[in-house]
Amino acid sequence: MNWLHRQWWRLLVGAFGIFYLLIGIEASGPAKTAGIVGGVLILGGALVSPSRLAPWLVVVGSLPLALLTWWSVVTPVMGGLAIVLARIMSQSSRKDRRAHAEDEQRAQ
Amino acid sequence: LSLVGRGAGFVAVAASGLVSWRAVEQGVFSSGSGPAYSAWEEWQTNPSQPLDLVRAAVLAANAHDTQPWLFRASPDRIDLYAVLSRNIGAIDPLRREMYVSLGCALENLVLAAAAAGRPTLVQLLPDPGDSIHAARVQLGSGPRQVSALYQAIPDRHTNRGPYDTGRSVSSSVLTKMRDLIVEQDVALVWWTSTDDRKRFADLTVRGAQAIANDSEQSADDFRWWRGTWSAVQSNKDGVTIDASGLPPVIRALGKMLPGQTRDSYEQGFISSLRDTELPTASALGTIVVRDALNNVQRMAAGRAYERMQLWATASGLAMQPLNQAVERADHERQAGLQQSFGSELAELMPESWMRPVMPFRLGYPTVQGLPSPRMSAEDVTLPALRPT
Repeated sequence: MNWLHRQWWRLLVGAFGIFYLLIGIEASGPAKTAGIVGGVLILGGALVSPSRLAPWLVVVGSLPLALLTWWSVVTPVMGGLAIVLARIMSQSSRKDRRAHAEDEQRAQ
Repeated sequence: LSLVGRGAGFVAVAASGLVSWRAVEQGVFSSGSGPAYSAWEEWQTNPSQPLDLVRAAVLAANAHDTQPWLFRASPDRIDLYAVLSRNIGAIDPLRREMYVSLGCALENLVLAAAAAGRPTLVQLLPDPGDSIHAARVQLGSGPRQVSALYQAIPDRHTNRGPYDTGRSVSSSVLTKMRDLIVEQDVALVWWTSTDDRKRFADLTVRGAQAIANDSEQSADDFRWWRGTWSAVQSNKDGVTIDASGLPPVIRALGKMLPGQTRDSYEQGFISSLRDTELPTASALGTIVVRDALNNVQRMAAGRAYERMQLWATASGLAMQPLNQAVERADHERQAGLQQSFGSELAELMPESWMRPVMPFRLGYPTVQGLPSPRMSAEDVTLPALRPT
């Protein structure tokens, strides 16, 4: 339960990566590449959190498909949400890391 | 607060998952791809084979994308047959649009044959007692003649979007299009006066409204609507939202929202016609024949229409058939009703012998016309008969 609590935001961002992959696999033309590569980058962002690179991977992964398929409404909204969640994920991971470090210091 | 935030995040992700699933399932990101559209890519695989000529024929303009054709290809001959079960029913009770569609396919076939170095000898209705056997095309051999019209075949799509109101079609274009018609008993009428244009536009909108109010016509019209991506891909025919000419955002939302009812389909169609298609048309006209019930003349009109649309495509112009008033006139005639639409159309003809069989609009496009689904050449070609 504690693990789920700690990983919550990473899991949510990862889910966005999977949705992007799903769209990419089914899409045609440049949207296919943008969806697949974008999905992998978003998943990568979720995996490398709390690294400072994580939110940037999500931003870079989200934007191309959102811009290419702006008319779908779906991908710009999803891209925006993924970026917001990535920011929360990053802050939450850093908070957890600080709390963990303080716990270790106290234990010593 | 943390719990509320986590819950909100979960709801946002779950909703995104559902919406993206719906978008994928409805082909929002894959317009123009899949088995229903592969005919547009495969049309030139092996230009020397008779089947390849059929690949060009199946890309022709046709009513409601019903593709009412069947071919039998042999090395030196291709026969074209009408498929009565693919008629639009009460929308086309006299099978006018069906034979015009067959003529369109025939024109593509002839252009493709010329490009393959197979000059043609076309015989319309070779067996006068058999209206199903629409045409016989004998294939000879000669030099390849790759025309601009032939090259426009994969780019020709009916464009139902708004046309550019700031750019009018010049009178020389109208003359050139008139000169494209070489068939006997077929001619082209342009409605150029403001009064004629208004009368035709009003008549067309009233025709669409009358169709919507007629349960039989409306049902037969809606029968060809393909509202789901799976229906598009499995049927490879019919009227689709992608080919509607709507702006991309509306198209995407239209695909994702729950399926249309017959009434909403008809009302959407009427409003597009009244508010977009007719007011933005740069030119309005019709192909006319001497005898609107004569299948030979109807097919000749179809050949002329296809040629005109290919020429328009190659010249950066867009076209769209506007058959509603004629469909009502056909319905009146078939049902033995008083000729209301028929008489009003007759009044719009400059000469008494002229019978309209294919009204349309013309203009410079503002949005790209998208392809409609197609059955492949293999789907619509019978095996060759053994020599007797």
